[in-house]
Amino acid sequence: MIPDSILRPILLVEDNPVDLDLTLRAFAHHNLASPIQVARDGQEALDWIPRWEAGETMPLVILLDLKLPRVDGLEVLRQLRAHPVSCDLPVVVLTSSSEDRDVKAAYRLHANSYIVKPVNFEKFMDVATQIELYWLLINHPPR
Amino acid sequence: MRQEMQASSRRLNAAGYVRVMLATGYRFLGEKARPWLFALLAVLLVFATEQVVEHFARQSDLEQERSDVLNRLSTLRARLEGVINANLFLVHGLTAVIENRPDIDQAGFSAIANNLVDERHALHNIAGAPDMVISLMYPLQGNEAALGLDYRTHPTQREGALRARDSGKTVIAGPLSLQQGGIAIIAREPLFLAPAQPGGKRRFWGLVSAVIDAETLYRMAGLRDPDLGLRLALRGTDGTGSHGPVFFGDAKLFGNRSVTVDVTLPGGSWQMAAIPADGWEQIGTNIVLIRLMGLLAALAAGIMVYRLARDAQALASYSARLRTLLNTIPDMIWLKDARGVYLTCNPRFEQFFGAREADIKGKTDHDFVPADQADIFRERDQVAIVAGGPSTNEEWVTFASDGHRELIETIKTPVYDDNGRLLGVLGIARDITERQKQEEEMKRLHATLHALVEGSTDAIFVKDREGRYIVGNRALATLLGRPMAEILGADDHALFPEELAERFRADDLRIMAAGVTETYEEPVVTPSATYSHLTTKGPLIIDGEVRGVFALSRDITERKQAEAALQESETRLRLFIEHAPAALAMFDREMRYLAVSRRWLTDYSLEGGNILGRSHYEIFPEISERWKTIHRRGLAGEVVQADEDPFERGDGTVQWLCWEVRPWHAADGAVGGIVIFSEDITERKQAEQVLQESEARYRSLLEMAPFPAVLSRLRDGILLYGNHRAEIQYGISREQGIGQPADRFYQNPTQRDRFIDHLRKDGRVDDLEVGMVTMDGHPFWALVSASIVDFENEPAIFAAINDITARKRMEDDIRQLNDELEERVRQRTAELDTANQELETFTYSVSHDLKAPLRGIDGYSRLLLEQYQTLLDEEGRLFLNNVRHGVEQMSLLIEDLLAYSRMERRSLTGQSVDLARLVTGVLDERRTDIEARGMIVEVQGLQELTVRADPEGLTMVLRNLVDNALKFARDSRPPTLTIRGAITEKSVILKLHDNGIGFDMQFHDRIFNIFQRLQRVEDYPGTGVGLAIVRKAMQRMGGRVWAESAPGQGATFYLELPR
Repeated sequence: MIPDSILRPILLVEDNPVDLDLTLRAFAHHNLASPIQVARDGQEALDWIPRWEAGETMPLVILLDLKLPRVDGLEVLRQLRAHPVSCDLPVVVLTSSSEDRDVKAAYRLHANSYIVKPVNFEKFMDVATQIELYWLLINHPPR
Repeated sequence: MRQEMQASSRRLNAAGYVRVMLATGYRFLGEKARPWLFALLAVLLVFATEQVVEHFARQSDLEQERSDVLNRLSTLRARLEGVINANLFLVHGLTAVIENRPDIDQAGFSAIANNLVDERHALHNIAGAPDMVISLMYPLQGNEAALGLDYRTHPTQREGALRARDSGKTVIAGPLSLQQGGIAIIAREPLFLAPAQPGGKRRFWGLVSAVIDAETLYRMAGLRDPDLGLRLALRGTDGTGSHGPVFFGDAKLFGNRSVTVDVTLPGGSWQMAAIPADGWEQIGTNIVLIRLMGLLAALAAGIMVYRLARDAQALASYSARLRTLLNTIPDMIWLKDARGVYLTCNPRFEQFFGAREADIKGKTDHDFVPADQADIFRERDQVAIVAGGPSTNEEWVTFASDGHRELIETIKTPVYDDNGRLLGVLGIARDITERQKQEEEMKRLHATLHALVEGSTDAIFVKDREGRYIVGNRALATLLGRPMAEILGADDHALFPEELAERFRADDLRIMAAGVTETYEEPVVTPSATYSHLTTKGPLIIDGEVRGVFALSRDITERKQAEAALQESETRLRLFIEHAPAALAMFDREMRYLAVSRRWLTDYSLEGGNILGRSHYEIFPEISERWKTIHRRGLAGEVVQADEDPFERGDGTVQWLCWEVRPWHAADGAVGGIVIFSEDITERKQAEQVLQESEARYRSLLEMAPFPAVLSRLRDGILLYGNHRAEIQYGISREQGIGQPADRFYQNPTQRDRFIDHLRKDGRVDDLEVGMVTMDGHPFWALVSASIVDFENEPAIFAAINDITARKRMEDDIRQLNDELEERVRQRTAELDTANQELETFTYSVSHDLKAPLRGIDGYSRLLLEQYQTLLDEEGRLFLNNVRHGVEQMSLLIEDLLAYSRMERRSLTGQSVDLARLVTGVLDERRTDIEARGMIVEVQGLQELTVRADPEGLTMVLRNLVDNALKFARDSRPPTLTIRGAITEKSVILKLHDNGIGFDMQFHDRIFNIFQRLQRVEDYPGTGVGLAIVRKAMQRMGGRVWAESAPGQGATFYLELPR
């Protein structure tokens, strides 16, 4: 059974072109049907809010890098949580940083998950797979 | 009542007005010309009046005449209008005919006209002009020339004709000159025919005009009548009325006081003017009469006014003299009528009321003074009226002009006219204030003298030439013990014993004869006692004649007795001095002995001789100048004394004297001399000296004490003593310091209060720190110890001072140094914080940004290997794997560096950590690796061991050391790790021993340095950061780490942490 959530997209917020490319490849690898939307910085991510308000399909999950141009990841998270349309949207922080303060800050802003990007590609693929499987197939998102 | 007053005041005003007018006239015209000029004025006035009357009489005549003219003129107008209307009816009749016969011919027209014209008509001709061209004419004879005249083109008649046609009404034109000759008035009537069918338009047929001969018209109207008696003029050609030109008579008539009427015409009017034929009439006889009577009246008026003015002049002159008299008199004068209304008053009186005479006249007292006073004035008036003659009274009044008060004497007299009728009351008031004042002065003087005489305790009396008492005071009566009534009139024989009376009489006679005043003492004997009297007796001289004697006699009995008593007391005093138990002598101003005590005589070896009256200096010629000076000071009024005065005797022994020189004062207050008192105190002095010497020894001890010491009075803090060091300390000399209030040596006076409180409570104070100042205000800190002592029978504070300024300054310096140090630490800390902040930012960027490219390198290497496998040979794949291996190393290094930096940056907590649990936790984490390597781990002696550490930091330390053991003991069979705990007094030591490859002890310290490796990476992979993290963490937790080893012997790591 393929849940209807398949049709809902994943919003990937990533500025680094290498990371973006590798992540897209990792997802493509599994051929899951979820379309992937990309925001290249914090502001682009926030620009989605009015569109969702206008009725566009909400993503199943947002994969959010922390170190972003214009508006940084934590601020994006804060605004998403502050807005009624996106306050309960699952947000997974996907970042290179394993700093305590980042972890704490993200959870304090009610991140649903905090995942450190591995440098090793196999591990990275593995992580991507896990994320996809979990958030697309296992998790039951809010409607 | 009031109305009556006003009425009379009006009468007065009218009379006054005539007077004023005349007076004004006099002033204005000058003395001599006056009556004549007034007469002339009267003549002119009457003559002018006659002129006015004459003017009105003439006016009346003229009106009569004009009315006549108007009547006649109206008749003429009626006749004129009648003639014109007759002609208009004629024309109207013709038009009626033509209306029925529009195509009538000349013959028909003539026939009808012939029937209509009669003697009423001043007709020249009558014409019909169908379509505005004349074709019908009656009578035709003489008027043929007019036939064919086209009104539309005729230069003079065109306008009138068109006006008649267009207005549809009859129009009168002219008078105008006819084409056929002559002057005529033309009446033109337009003719409209009835419409051919009902409702159609009326058709214009043409004009019918009547030409009226002007001259005939005038004659028929009677304008040319020779008996008319009027001159006439007409204007208003073409019916333009008063606006038109004059066409009959003299144009000058219009506007020349003529009478005019309007003559009404169809569509306009004429105006007719007339005046009498011989002009307006001449002066009538009545006018002449009026003029004659006027002249006579003017003459009579002139004569009368002349006489009146002359009389008025005489009256005014008399009145002015009277007025001057009234004005200059210093008394107030006024006249009131019987009802109390003022008729006149003088300027002095004006001041009293504060109003002008003009304002006073006609008013009553009630208008100027308070009601009660006005009532009194009025009452006095009545008194005078009732008495029928002058009535006088005195009263105080206030002047309204300046508020001053005067006592006035008022005389009020009723005034009657020739018939004996009461006119009013005349008042005259005089200021008698001064007179009254003098009388009162006299009374007061008399009373004063009486009081003086009566109040005297001396007997005062006056006797006449015969020796009879005529004046005597109370003291006299008291002296004689008789009532005054018995004394007055009696002589000395009746009052004193015979002998005394004879002597008094002899004295009286002598004094009266000599005329000189004498003063002497005499005995006075009364029945009750005998007195001593001091009597002054002199001649009583009035108006240059001796009329008797006066005397003042004072009882001096007591004084006499006092003098006697004094003498007695002096004797007693002398006796007292003589026997006084001290050396005592009394001198006069010349230092002569007045009195002396026996002791004095003994002390100065003067027994035997009588020294009273002799000079001190004569008795002691060797007396020193010093003593003479002291005597002089005493004589100058000073008290000089010495409690202890050494006096060297001739034999060299010293005699100590206590002495006093004191002035004494005579009865007049001047210094009468001196009293010298002296006492030999040599013995007492010697005893004291012994005591003083002993005191001096102690004093010198105190004086030389090596610390400042002061003594001050407890009561008021006055400084009594300060030793040598105290003088230096406070910067005072002894003279300066003694007597100063101690307050001034305290920086803060309340500190002294606190000090005193302490002292009173405990009796002493030890080492109290006090801020003090020197004499010149230089502050210093002192440690004061003090106690209360008894000094000269008074509690005093004895205090020892220790200057601790230097110590205090040192303390302050240290405190300041500390403060500076703390400040520096604060600065450094702040700098460090900044540096840490920067480092944190830096490492944060590293952790984030350094990993991304690595992930790229690894990712794409992997993709190459995967997707381009067939294109790569063995070596190519090896290269890519090496790339990936390098990336992995790099990644590890980054993670370790981050961990190291984190350890440095983190704030570590110090909490109680259970070692056993922590170690078990770490071993569990690494269980997979431990089992994989088959390592044997032994844990001993950790039960209930706790340390103060940061749990995470310590976990990191143990993790690294376990990893280390796993790495370097991998080749041992089997690898082992022993973990032991040991406890010391202040710390806990954890020992980790492995059986790995170990190291040379020469490197025991360097192994903890970052990036320090002792093995090749391919043999023992690692980053060289692990042990650096261990040492950093231990340092941060306040502990330390060290290691012991030997190559091949395994290694032991020691961790020491506080308990």
